[in-house]
Amino acid sequence: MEDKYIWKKEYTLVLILNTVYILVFYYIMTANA
Amino acid sequence: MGTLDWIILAGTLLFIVGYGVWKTRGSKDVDDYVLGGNQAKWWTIGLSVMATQASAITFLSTPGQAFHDGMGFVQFYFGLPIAMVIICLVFVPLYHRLKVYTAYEFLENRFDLKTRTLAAILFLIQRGLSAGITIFAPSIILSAVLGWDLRTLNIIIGALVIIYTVSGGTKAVSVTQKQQMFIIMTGMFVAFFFILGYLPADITFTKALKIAGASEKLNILDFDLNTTSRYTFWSGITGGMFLALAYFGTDQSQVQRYLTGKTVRESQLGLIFNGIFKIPMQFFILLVGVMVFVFYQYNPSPLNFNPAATSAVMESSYAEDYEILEQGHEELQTEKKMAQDKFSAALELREYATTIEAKQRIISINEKEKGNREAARTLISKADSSVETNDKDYVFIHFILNYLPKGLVGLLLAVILSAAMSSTASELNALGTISALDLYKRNKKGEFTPSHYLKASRGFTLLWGIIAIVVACFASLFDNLIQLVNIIGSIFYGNVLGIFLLAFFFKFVRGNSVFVAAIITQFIVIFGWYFNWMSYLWLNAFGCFLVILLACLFEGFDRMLKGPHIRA
Repeated sequence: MEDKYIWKKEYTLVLILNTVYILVFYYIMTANA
Repeated sequence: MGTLDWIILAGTLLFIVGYGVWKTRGSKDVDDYVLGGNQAKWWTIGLSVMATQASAITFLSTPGQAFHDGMGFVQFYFGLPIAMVIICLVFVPLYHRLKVYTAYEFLENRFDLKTRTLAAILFLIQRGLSAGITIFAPSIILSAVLGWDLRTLNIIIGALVIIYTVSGGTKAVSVTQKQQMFIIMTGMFVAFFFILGYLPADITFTKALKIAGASEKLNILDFDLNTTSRYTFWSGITGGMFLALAYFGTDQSQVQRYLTGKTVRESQLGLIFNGIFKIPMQFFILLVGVMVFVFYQYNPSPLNFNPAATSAVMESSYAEDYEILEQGHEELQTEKKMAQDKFSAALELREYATTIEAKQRIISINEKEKGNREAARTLISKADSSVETNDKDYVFIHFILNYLPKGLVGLLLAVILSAAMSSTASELNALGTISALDLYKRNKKGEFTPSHYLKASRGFTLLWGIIAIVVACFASLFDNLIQLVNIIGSIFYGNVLGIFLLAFFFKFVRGNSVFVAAIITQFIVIFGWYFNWMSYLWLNAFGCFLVILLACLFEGFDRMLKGPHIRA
């Protein structure tokens, strides 16, 4: 079994980008409400 | 459909099949056939993972979903990127290190043969059924709108997939999925720009968004904590992540895509690719649906988009009532067009009060239209209870067939059939692999040559292809079969994910406890579904937690009964 889970920079990128998407969605939603 | 459409449709599909067969001819052994010789690069894996998940229904149904209910459906995917990161961290390194061919092989490594066999059988039951539905779902829609024979369409889709999947195995699936994704995205982008071009001259994209917003189609995020709302930010982040973890982490049709990676890193980057592009892709497909909605604000739309439903009611004693509803619908459309013009002009002049007034008018007309459509659905149900009244699957195809120019219709039909083929290919590939390796090879006594197992893999893939076509041909005999397959999936998925989580995170639990817990859990989940304990989607979580709890309890009892260790 793998005991160490190695965090890589691309995982951070995925999480940041998807947070940005959600912020963009929020902007689109409120700007056109 | 014109001649040009037929040429583009047939040419695209035959090219994909031919190229898939030619490019991957001559697999030497099981390693080549099942894992594509472990040569796949990250972009191939990423596209393959996305093409596997996106079935024809994604491209038919999602725009219709946005047309009727807006873009809130995108929230369903919010948990997917988190699941991708977890799979990259935990699942992928382990699968690669153990050099497994299937996800269930890992279970034998961690527990025992019987747990592996049990998980493999659970997979075959649910995935075998859904492969048939992946073929059936677009066939029933295309046969309804184009008048094509349903069974012939089932056989054509199934046979095309069988040709290259049986011939080239996993490599053929990956190679063709790259082209299918290219066709799919090209077709969707072209359709999107055509829709924008069809809008009145003064309606720009920004204005189209304002129009969609005024009709509440851009309510993308819902932070409501109410559990009865189907798509909310919270259900997407939690339930969506849970489902994505089960699907991408333990379903062989997905696991096999990233097991083909040249290295662990290629596999991980492939999944990261999916984590980055999945939400924008779904957002874009929903946006296409919203633009179709804006288009129909200025152009006539039918009361119900399913032609089979309309003809069923028009041939019944409810025809007169339906005609009255249609008349009301037409009047509403004229009113709506006027209100939209007023809204658009007010936006242009930046007259705040008039904008709000026009917006209120649009909302009120939309409410009336919604009521009208609901009344039409009730009439259709009364006329023929077997006809599908929910027309969201027919909205986009109605637009394609009635408004897009010749040639583009063929391209968009190629998009739909390519999507059906890409999902089915992965499913058949996984079903063949599991049958050949997890059941046949592991349980059949005797020594056989590598070419024997290669033949067995091909034979099982062909067999599952035939089963899928048969299921698709008889699917129409059952009411609401798609929901039935979702229910069957939910009954098994939670249990299988629970077994994997036990394997990864509960190191003290051993095979016997897991096996007994999994069997008991499966019976309890089936019992719970039969007596309607909860909505079937919650069975996923219930099964997962139950198997973990029971396995830990059994392991604890087992260790207790064997007595404490006496230390010298």
